[in-house]
Amino acid sequence: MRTILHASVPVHVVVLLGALLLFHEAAYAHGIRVFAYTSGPEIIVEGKFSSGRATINSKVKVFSDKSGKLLVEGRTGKDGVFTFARPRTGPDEGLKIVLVAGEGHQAQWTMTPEDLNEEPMVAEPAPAPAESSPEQPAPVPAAPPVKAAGTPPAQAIDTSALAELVSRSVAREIAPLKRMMMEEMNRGPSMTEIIGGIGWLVGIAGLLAALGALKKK
Amino acid sequence: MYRQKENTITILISALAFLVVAIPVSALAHFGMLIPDKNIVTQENRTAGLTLSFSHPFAGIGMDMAKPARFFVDLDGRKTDLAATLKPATVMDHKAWQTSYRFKRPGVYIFGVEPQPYWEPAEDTFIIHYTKTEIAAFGADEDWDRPVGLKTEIIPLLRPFGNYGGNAFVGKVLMDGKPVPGAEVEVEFYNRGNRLSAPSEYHVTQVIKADNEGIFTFTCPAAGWWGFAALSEADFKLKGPDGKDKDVELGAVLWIYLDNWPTAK
Repeated sequence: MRTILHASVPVHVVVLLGALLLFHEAAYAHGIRVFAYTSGPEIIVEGKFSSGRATINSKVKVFSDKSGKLLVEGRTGKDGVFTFARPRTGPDEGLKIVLVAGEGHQAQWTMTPEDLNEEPMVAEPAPAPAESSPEQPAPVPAAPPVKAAGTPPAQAIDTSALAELVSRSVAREIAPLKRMMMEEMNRGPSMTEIIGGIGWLVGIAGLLAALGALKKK
Repeated sequence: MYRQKENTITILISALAFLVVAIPVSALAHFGMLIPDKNIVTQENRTAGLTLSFSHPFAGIGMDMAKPARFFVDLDGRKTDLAATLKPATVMDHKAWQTSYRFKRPGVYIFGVEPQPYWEPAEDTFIIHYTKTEIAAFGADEDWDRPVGLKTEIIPLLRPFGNYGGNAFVGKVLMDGKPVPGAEVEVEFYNRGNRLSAPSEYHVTQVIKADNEGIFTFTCPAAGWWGFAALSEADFKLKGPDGKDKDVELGAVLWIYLDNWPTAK
């Protein structure tokens, strides 16, 4: 037994490699970003590390930026997203959204009254095919009629507007997935894979050594 | 031996002729310009103005720019047409365009202009400069090296924001989406307010050639706006004012901003 242990990697190297594995993820947690937007009667909060990874199970606090009062509290899910029902706000009142992730990393996003009273999915201009569209984007929250805060969102939406909403929703949901796929494709071998590979080589070397020893006898 | 008077006149005429030949305005480099009032947007101020012009950035001489054929912003691969938001402006005493854009979500926004072909009689050529610039909003910095599908464009290989005067800019020249080996790139500094003078005409526009992969590196000696224009001859011709076929110069232009190195607090 002792002979085999000597032949393989020294203990302190194994411990170091193990430690590196554990801290691999944390090495990227240098900064976090948070962004929030309205979606119908809800507000969606997205948290990300600067590496692009989602902030999983991270605390979110929503304050009134006028009174400073804490209005909503919650945690992001596995996708780094936290959704909550839009609280009622005054015409000049915004929301300050604070995200806390990892070892005390904190980021905030301010939703201005303008952000809150404007439906971004409708005001945001159409995607790729409509390049020549005369639709005006920001700063003028133009063309499509913005529904007043009190109007129930489930009013008569014509089919084309609905189709547009759907395609934009899908595009937005798919964008992070696309990015993840790209990152996966671009990422080289992970620490785990490298160590696993080394392990294979060590094992094979050991086998050959054992066979060699047997032959000599 | 020459008589004094004839000598003086000869010198004067030669000097005049030399001046006329030495610095013709047309020899100055034309640059499509797309200059925002900032290239990093934060929550405190979510709107940026953008100015579009066709000018000689260092010499401070402008040319009239017709309303662009296309002006768009690309976010995550989705393009939004912004041509309708353009308002007339004046840059270097000539017709130019401007707009204001409000940023709503984090991302790396790439703005692109495709101007109408510019007829340059001095070179008997049309000029089309596809011009881009990038603005990073709310901390995002992904995909700043994505192409936006212009006929010809420069892909930055140095992330084009958050840099300093003195940094080396690295870029890749594409034509129809493919790298251009040996592409010739003109570099010019935006000499705002025309405060600086170059030591010679050569210094006004610097030139660098890309390698076999279409990649070039240029160290910018100072903070400010820097324009890179990779020029090539189009594979098509356009009818000139005299009805004859004329050559077309295509330019892939990218503008980047370099900040001053911070001073100690």
